[in-house]
Amino acid sequence: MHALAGEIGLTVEETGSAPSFDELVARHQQRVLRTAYRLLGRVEDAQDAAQEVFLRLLRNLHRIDGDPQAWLYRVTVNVCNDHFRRLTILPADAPRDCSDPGPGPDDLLELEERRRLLMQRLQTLPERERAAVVLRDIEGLPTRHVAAILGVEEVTVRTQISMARLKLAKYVRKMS
Amino acid sequence: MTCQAWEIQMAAGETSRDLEQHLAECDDCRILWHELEANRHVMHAMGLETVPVPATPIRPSLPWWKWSSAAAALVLSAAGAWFASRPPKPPQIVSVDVNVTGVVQSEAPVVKAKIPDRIPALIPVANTEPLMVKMLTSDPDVVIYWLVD
Repeated sequence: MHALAGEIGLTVEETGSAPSFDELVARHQQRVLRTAYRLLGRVEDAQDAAQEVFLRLLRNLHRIDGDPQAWLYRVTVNVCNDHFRRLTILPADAPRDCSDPGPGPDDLLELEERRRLLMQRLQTLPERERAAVVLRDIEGLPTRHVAAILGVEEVTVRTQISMARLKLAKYVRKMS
Repeated sequence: MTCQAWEIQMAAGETSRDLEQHLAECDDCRILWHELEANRHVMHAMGLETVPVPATPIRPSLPWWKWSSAAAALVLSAAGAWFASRPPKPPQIVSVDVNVTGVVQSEAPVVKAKIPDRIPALIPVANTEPLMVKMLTSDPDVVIYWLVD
């Protein structure tokens, strides 16, 4: 049994192919955290959600064949939706480091403001639209993968993404 | 086509010569198109950001019933261990003063037992009045008194 499974008291039967769990956490932790952060808007909530996601992964590891990325996205969206319903709307966290250092100071300010507004409006989108646009436009997943993760038709996801993009664009335009 | 229809087309990321022509003519749609494009770039960059990992690595927490079961088992184990390792209770020794004030007449041969004047107390005894037990015999002239400290 690997260290983490042992630490939380689960047996090999419960963890399935237990030795790979720590590797999976290392490989997918940032992706899960980032998606949860975009869906929830707060780092602490994202960390709580990621905790829940990996606990579910640990319990279901023996049922997952191959790379659990799609499974993790689906569970992350579900966990965040559950979490989101329990939360009161709080302002999104301060902007984080961005790895694209292209624009100058003025442009950066504008980008940060746009980023803040986007995060703000994301939190008020309907669940399905929020999940669809986060997975498609932020995580960069193909539409068919987003549809599979959310368990809906591709055409539905396209509509949800379009609606979300329009709402975001109109909000930024109105606020800036 | 109405502006609303163009908006949906723009949001879907579709481009066409007709759309370009409309954008050249409609300020509102052109502004919206710029907003959509700017958002697309920013959201792409957001996907490359890193979210701080918790100070302590992600550690799935135990559900409450596992914590409480573990706590209950621990308490029971500790109680059991304490009970098992308890030293045996020492026998209580009580000193008794016996004053014989009379002799019972009986047909059985009288055996003279050596009775010490006083058995020393082995454990501290509270300073209280001695308990006096008066024992009546079949002979009204013979009464036995037991004084118990």
